[in-house]
Amino acid sequence: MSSLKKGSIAVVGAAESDLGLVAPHTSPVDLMAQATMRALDDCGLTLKDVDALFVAATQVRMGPMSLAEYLRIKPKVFDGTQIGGSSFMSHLAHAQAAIQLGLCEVAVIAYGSTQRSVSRAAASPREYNPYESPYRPILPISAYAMSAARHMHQYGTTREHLAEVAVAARQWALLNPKAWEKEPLTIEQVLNARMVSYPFTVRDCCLVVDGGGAIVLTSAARAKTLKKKPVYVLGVGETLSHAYISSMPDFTVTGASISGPQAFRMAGVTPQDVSMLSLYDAFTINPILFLEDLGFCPKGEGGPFVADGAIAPGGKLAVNTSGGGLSYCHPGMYGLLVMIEAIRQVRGECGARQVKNCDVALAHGNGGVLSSQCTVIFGSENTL
Amino acid sequence: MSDLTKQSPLGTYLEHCKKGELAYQVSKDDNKAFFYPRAYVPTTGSENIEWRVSKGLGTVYTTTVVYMKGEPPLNVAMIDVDEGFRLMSRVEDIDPLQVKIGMRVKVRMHPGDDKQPPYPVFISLTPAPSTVERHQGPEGRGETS
Repeated sequence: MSSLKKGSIAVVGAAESDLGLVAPHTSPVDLMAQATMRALDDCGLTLKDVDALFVAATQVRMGPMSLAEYLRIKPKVFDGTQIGGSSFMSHLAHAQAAIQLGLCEVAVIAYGSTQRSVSRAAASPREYNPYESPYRPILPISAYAMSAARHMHQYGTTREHLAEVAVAARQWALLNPKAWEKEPLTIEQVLNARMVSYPFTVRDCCLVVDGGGAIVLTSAARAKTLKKKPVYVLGVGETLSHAYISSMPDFTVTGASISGPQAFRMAGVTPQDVSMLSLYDAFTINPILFLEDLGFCPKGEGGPFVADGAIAPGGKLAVNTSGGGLSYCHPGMYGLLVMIEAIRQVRGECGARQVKNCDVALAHGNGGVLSSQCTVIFGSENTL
Repeated sequence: MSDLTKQSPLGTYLEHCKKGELAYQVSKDDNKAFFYPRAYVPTTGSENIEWRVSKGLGTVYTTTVVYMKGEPPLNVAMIDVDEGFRLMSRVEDIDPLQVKIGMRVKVRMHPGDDKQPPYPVFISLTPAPSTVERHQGPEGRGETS
């Protein structure tokens, strides 16, 4: 059986759409198209070169059709896998398979959302679940809150540990001109903010903003002929553990404990080789869980691991240098932007927040209520 | 053979709820309980399924308190029922912030209303702590106001 090969494809273009709050009547597909054209411009390719399209969004049910129609292109390969915020890491793995097999050569992965403009309720209505809806959890927040509560009970993780994650994200965001949040944040401000779903205050929860993004992928051979230094895909891993939180097997262990080792095996690297992590921080418990499950610290020690500014600028490990979903941008399905920051770090394009000698960056996506977990490891040419 | 033109798993579950019973399913092949109700045993796909009625005793696995504008705080919890399955519910006879992981609880059927069929909720069997300190523990509940 053949398998995905380390370095067989590379990211050659990456771009955000406009972020934050877009003009009235802007559509999610407008944002996808804008990000796609910017990402193509980033690598010097045109729409004529694109022969594969990967799209997921909450406001566009049949994404590949909608974006193909808008741009009037006829992709040979298309995929609308919808597993929440990690969909785009999954798309990347599927694009790699298609490019390796020769089914296509230039793949675009795109996303757009106007959830701040139209409201979250309108942008991402919840399905009714007869076994959960009567209890009125605020989803997805309460699901992650119950994971955090169990982690606190089992391992002694504290609300201050959670707040450290939000404060570190804010400090990074202040170094990113594109970040939504512009003011400093303290531990006390996080703890004393409005409680939403215990133990989370509103500052433990991600932003609700408009935004989108796109990346362009092609074979390693073609990547070398394009404008910028290729960012190679070294490893990928993806897994599903449940759909609704009631069916999560252990609320303190995520599928990152499966997707991470898959990606590391394929990449032939270990956590020690990773210079920077981009972790899907919809809530402050997420990076704590993912640092544990991806092997950056033992299970249960994620709280102490992030304490004392350890993942903030100048700390021992660079995590979410963009400012993350907590302080930079979270349009609802944040995974594509998670990857874009890791790609830019490997390229060395991050200005004041650039991690030195960033040859290996890990992007980890999460979807649903800790339900889907997908890991992608990116590397520079030095890592091949 | 399951015949979904005649009877659905949720339909059977709700019939039990209307009688005040928390029903669950067991795989007769290995005597393992599962929840939510299904037409096939998860993992094996077997149809060798038996419905049983729970004794309604369980333990809080994890808990949260949701704050909705203009409403009193509301508990949402995951309950590990003694027969070996877990469900989302709430513990509703005590202050939502006093619902603790590990607390023993017992089912009672919420009657529902015109739109909502009856559904199981739980009441606490562990006395609520008399002071904030007593059950504070590592989850640090005493910190919230």
